[in-house]
Amino acid sequence: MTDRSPFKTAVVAVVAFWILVFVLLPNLLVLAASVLARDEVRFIRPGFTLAHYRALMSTEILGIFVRSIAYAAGTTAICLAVGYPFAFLLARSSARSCC
Amino acid sequence: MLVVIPFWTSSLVRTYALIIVLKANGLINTLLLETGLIQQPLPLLYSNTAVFIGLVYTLLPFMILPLYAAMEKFDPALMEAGYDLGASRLQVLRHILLPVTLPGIIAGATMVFLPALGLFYVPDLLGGARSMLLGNLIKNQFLAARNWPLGAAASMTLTLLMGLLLWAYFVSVRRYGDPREALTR
Repeated sequence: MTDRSPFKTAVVAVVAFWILVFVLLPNLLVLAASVLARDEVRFIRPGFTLAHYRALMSTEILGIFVRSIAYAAGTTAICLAVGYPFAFLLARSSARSCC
Repeated sequence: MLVVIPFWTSSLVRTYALIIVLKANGLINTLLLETGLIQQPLPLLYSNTAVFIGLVYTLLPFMILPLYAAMEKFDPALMEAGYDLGASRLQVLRHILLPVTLPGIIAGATMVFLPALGLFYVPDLLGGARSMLLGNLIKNQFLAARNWPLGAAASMTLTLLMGLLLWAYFVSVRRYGDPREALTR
């Protein structure tokens, strides 16, 4: 852990670069787009506004949020109910047959 | 092994395959009609049921793998000891198996819940007009409605929501992280 080989530095640099360019930057662009004004032709134009976040508060979109969370929770519950016994059997059976 | 085989094909392709299974003259309906169990084909496709089937089908491996990892490390002798001490099956499940595999449950629930919030192609392909989820909303705002800022605002909110849940997950890992601690309670 103490020595800083060039290989280690290179690997870390590549991964850091990758995250910066393909994860952080796009997210910052989305964040920027979310507070800019809408433009029919060029999609966005300069001008700070929080109107789009206010627009999310409409009952229609709020309903979609609630439904999404309900669907995700339901999916998780079903997966747990199905997966738990299955994983148990899988762990038990492979422990007995293998090694 | 059985669990990772689905990963060999793209989940998008598998979702299209589900359409063939669920549609009005698809596998399930043909089977049920031929055996005379139903007279009319069930309206399976383009319903909320289909969305649920698709989501569970797509995400089930992500639940099973962490659970399996947690249970493989679990020593079955602990359950034997529980039985020897006079515990019923339910008590063994409640006081031994569940606490020990709690990290696996939390990991699995996170790995299913978070993607389920954002998956857009499953409700897109299997759901009807009324089963629009967040992923579809964002996709539609960007591609169909051409309202980029609203879509961006929605996806930022979703990102924030997921970030909060991940934070809760890390807190719970710090709390329930060591399975052996859970045993002593």
